[in-house]
Amino acid sequence: MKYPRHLHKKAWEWRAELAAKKITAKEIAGEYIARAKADKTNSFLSLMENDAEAAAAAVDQGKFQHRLAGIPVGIKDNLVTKGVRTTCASKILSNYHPPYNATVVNKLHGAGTVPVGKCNMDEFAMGSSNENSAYGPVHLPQDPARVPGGSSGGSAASVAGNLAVMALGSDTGGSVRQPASFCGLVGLKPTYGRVSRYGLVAFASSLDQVGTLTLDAQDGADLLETIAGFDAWDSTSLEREVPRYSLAVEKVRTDAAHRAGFLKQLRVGVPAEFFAEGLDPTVRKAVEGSIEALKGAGAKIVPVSLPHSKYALAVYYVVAVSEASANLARFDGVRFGPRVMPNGAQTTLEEMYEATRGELFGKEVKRRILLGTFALSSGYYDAYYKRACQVRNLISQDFAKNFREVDVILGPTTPTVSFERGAKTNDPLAMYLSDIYTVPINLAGVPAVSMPWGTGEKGLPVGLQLIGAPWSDGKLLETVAALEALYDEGKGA
Amino acid sequence: MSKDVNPEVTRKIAHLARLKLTDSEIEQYTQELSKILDFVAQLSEVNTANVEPVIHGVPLDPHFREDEAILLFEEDTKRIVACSEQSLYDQYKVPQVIGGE
Repeated sequence: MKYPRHLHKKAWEWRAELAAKKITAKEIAGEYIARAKADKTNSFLSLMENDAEAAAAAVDQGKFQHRLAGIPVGIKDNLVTKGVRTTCASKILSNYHPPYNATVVNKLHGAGTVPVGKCNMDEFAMGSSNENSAYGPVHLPQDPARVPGGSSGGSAASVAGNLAVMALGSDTGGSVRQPASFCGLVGLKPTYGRVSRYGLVAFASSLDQVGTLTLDAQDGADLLETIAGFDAWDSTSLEREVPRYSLAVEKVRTDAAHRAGFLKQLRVGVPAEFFAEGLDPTVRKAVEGSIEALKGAGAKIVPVSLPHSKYALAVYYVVAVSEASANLARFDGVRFGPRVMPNGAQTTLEEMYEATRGELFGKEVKRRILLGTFALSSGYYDAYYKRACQVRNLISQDFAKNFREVDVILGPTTPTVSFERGAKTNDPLAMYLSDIYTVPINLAGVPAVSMPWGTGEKGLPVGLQLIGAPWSDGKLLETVAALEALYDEGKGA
Repeated sequence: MSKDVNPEVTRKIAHLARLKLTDSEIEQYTQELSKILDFVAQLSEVNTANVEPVIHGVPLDPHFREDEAILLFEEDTKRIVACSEQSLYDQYKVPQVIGGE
């Protein structure tokens, strides 16, 4: 695998074929479902063949005019789907068939997209390699011995493996961007509040955001436009108009003069902190190549500083686990999932809670619940949780200051390319370090996107991360589209 | 190693979190939590005097719905309760809570 970008057919390419009546939605759905059924990467936990056939039939009957009508999509298994098993890759939800749809799932249905299935993930979105799934790891499509990243590993692998054209994931500390980087995709974590979290099974509510995994910027813009917007059922969703991301990106993609002007006006911040110790030299080289390409196109490159970002991982492992320990309290065997009754009919309520949670949560989930319970417990709250929330403020301020001077901040998405399965499973801290460049973004609530740029070790894809000011999601995708064009013109690594 | 965690503390927080752990799990988690807390300890280097703690990265203007009861049809109730492994009369059934005879 030398070429980092996939050549699978994108949504906008399928759209043209559907419009020209060269193929039907049913035929497209059939292709993807057949491949998903034969999948060897373990990308899906449940297939949605019946829903897919029904959606495709409705599209062929002309019931949908949306740009994504007839496009096969994957849905991360922490987004609830009415009547379709939703496990969060946990044994504690092994038999959960939700009575409702997540808002984003309703929006996908409303657009006439074709659901291929529910994507494998790290249990409750906790992990960076997809090795924490109770239903087995996901394999990197390019090399089955390696990880696709996590936690949205199945979402990313399904798109990279051409089992879905695009997929939804969720990103709490890098869970969309890091797998996008490993699999060679465009992965966007939108501004906090841009996309409804209603029906996204909560991990860390102040950080979680539904994100997109696509083959390019155009598909990312179309998918974001489809799922974004205010939702009365999510109290942190923000009331702001959804711009036509798709048209803005289309203009950058198709109009060379417009693109040249866009790049000349672009101010790109490069933070020294993201190029420090721990960054693989091949990744560094690829990312530096993108800076040269931007410089060559007339963009202004500005050195910037994010002095508190080095504390982001420490803040994250207090804030995220604290919120998780509260959010996961609802899984107790009463309302969802199987129950564990160690003493049969004599089991007390308390014993049922403890045994159900102790046996059915995986290792990493228990580790984080313990850590969060500790950080919030009496006597430690000020030293850990409160202090982390103060440093979080400083991290946010670093970003805010820089976005007065630059439009985007550029750096690597992850310190390395995809690693081999088992390489980090015995050392939680080493695994956590995989998210060192992605967690500051969630803490600050700003949007960021990972896009493929060049290759690193073993020819595996390198991810370039572009970070923007709040609500600049569109600008980020336009920048990705401009960089894609530069790459295709041979200005790459 | 962080002085804040030892097997007794781990046992206590496991109980607070309602997680039944084996002795070997207690042992392992104690070591792992110590390492992670050592890593987190770097936060004490940061001067946080006069820094407001924040619970969100971007300023939010949370909106709230009116607290209105909505009509639920019997089949909705059934669908919700059906997610539980044990129910009775459309209610969740749990082991006895109030003391027996």
